[in-house]
Amino acid sequence: MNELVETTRRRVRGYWIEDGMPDLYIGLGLAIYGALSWWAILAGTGWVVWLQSLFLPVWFGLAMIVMRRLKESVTYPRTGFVSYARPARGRRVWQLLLVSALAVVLAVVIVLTSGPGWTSRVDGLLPWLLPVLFTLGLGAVSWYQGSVRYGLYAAAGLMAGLLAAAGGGARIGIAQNAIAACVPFFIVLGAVMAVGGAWTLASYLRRTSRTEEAA
Amino acid sequence: MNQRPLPEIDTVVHAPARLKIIAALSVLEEADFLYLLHATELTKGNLSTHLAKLEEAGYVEIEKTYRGKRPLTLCRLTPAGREAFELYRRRMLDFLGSKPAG
Repeated sequence: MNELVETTRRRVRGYWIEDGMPDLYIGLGLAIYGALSWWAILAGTGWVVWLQSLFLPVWFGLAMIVMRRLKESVTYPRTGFVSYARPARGRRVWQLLLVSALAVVLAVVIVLTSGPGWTSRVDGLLPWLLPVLFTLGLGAVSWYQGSVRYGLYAAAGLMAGLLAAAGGGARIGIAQNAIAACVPFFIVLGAVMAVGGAWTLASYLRRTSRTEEAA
Repeated sequence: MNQRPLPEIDTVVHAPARLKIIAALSVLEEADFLYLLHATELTKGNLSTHLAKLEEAGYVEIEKTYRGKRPLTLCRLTPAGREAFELYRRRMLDFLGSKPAG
C-alpha cells in the first residue's frame, strides 16, 4: 500500500520533466552559454562579452514564463494540467536562509584556507566545484522525481566537468581562467541535456495526443 | 498467538483506486481530470465514480470551469482529505511496521 502511494507521488512529482522540455531548455541554455563564453574568450572584448554576461540571467530568468507557455500549448492538452503545492511560507524562508548561510560559510572557508593569492586559487577551484555542484543538483532531481534520465545527466556532467578541469580546456587552447576551463563542461552537459530532452519530447509527442476533456 | 488488532481504517481512502487519486492530489494544489486519468491509469468512468465518492465524503473539491473553449474539471484535496490521508498513512505504517517478518 505504501509502495502504491510512493510510486504515485513520485510519478506526480516527475510530471514536470516527463515531456523533456525542461531538459531541452536548460541544455540549450548551457550549450549556448558555453559557445558564447568560448567566442568571448577568443574575441577578448566587445559586444560578445556583454552578450555572454547577460545571456545566463536572461535565459534562466525567462525560464518559468517560457516553460508555462510551452506546457499550456503542448503538455496540458495532452496529459493534463497540474499546479504543484507550494511549501509553507515559513519553510521557504528557512530554506532560503539555510542555503544563503551555507554559501557564505563555503565562501569564507575557501578564502580563509587559500591564504595570499586566494583569487587565483578560487579560479583553480571553480572548474572542479562547478561540476560537483551541478551533479548534486541533477542527482537530487533524479532521486526526488525518480528520473533515470537526470541520473544520466548528472553522471555525464560530472565526467565532462572533471575531464575539462583536469586539462580538457588547456588542450583546446582556451583555459586561461576559471570560466574558460568550464567551457567544455557547459558545452558537453548542455548538448547531452538538449539531446536527451529532444528525444524525450519526440517520444512524448508520439505516444500522446491532444484530448478534449470529458469528465 | 499475540496479534495486534487491525487498525481502524478509513474505507473511503483505503480502496486502491481512490488511494491513487488522493496520493496524486496530496503533492498538488490542484489537477484537472485529464491529468488524473494519466496519473492513475483508471478509465474515465472509474475515475468519475471514485471522484464522486471522494467529493461526497468531503475529501475532494471539484470545480467545473473552462480554459479558453476547453472544459476543465479541476480537482483538489480538501483539508479534511489531507488529514484523512495522513491519518491513514500513519496508521498503516504503524501497523505494517509492527507486523512480525515472514
